[in-house]
Amino acid sequence: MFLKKQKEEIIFFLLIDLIYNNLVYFNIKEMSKKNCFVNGTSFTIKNCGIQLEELIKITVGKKKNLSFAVAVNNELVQKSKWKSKAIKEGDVIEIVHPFFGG
Amino acid sequence: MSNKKDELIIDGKKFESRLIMGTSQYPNLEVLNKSLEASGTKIITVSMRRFNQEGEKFFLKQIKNKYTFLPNTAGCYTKKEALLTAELARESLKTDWVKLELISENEMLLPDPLELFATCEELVKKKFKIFAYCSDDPILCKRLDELGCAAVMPLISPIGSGLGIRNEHNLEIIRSLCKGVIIVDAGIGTPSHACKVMELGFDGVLLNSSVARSFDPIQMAKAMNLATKSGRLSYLSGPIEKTKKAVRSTPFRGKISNF
Repeated sequence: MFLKKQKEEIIFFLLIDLIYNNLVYFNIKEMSKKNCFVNGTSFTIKNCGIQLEELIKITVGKKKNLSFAVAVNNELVQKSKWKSKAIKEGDVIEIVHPFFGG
Repeated sequence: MSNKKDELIIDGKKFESRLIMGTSQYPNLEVLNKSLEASGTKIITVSMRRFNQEGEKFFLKQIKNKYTFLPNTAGCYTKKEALLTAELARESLKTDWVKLELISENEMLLPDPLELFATCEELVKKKFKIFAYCSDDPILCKRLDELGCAAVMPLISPIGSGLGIRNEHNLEIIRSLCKGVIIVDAGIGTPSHACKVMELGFDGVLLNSSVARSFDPIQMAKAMNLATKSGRLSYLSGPIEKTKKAVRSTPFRGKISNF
């Protein structure tokens, strides 16, 4: 009787441990998704290390005829440097183009 | 600035038209295109804004290849904002031209002269060709002209107000003090305002609202085109001097009788 109760307790704690570990794993996984801001909207960067060019493709698509210019953290990034520019957590990216104006 | 053909010369480039058109507030793209055509303009202003789908339509090839683009810094309040916008415009449109707008408050949208001058100094160092939108203060205009702006652009009344010329005497002083290109920007309401500005000897007129918000923008654009040309011709023709008393036009001599 005593042994049976002890066994149940062990199983109970093992289950708790399993749930706890899974929660920790889930949190770590979530934490690996970092956020930056593209044109004022929060954007999740999975696994970090995304390049600016990739981010522009995701945001803009395959539109080739538009004359985009991009700033990261209020500094212009020339088109020639889009490939090598890595985006970090908290970066503020502005993708602009000519628009109606007076 | 002009040559024998009386073309407008800015930054070494020649333009047949002295009318610069804004591209905002038109009912649709078709009306915009037709209005630009009717105005005879060769230079159009554009803003720099975050990417969206509406902007994509604007860049139809027919518009892109036809006009010289003058990007502006509309909506900027600080030197920092304006400098970044100018850099983005240069990267995007591959032009050193920038219409520098630095406003100070939201109700009258008046330019901030101190912030504007400081920003101009910075942009000149960065080899930008500045079209400085400023208040109609003669000394400020003179200083901007001396600084090396491609064009100094005083307002005649607040943006979009259509009030026309508020201080004609200031405009006369500005014209006499500045040797470079002076273009009136903001405040034009009717073709007669544009004509008057040109009669005062200004090099050109920039307008947007007076055409875009009119009942018939295409027709109004044509009227502005003619008014600008008319004013320029009048200026070049040398108007008569004003007198306090009448000056007889029909000869008195030879009149049939004097009873």
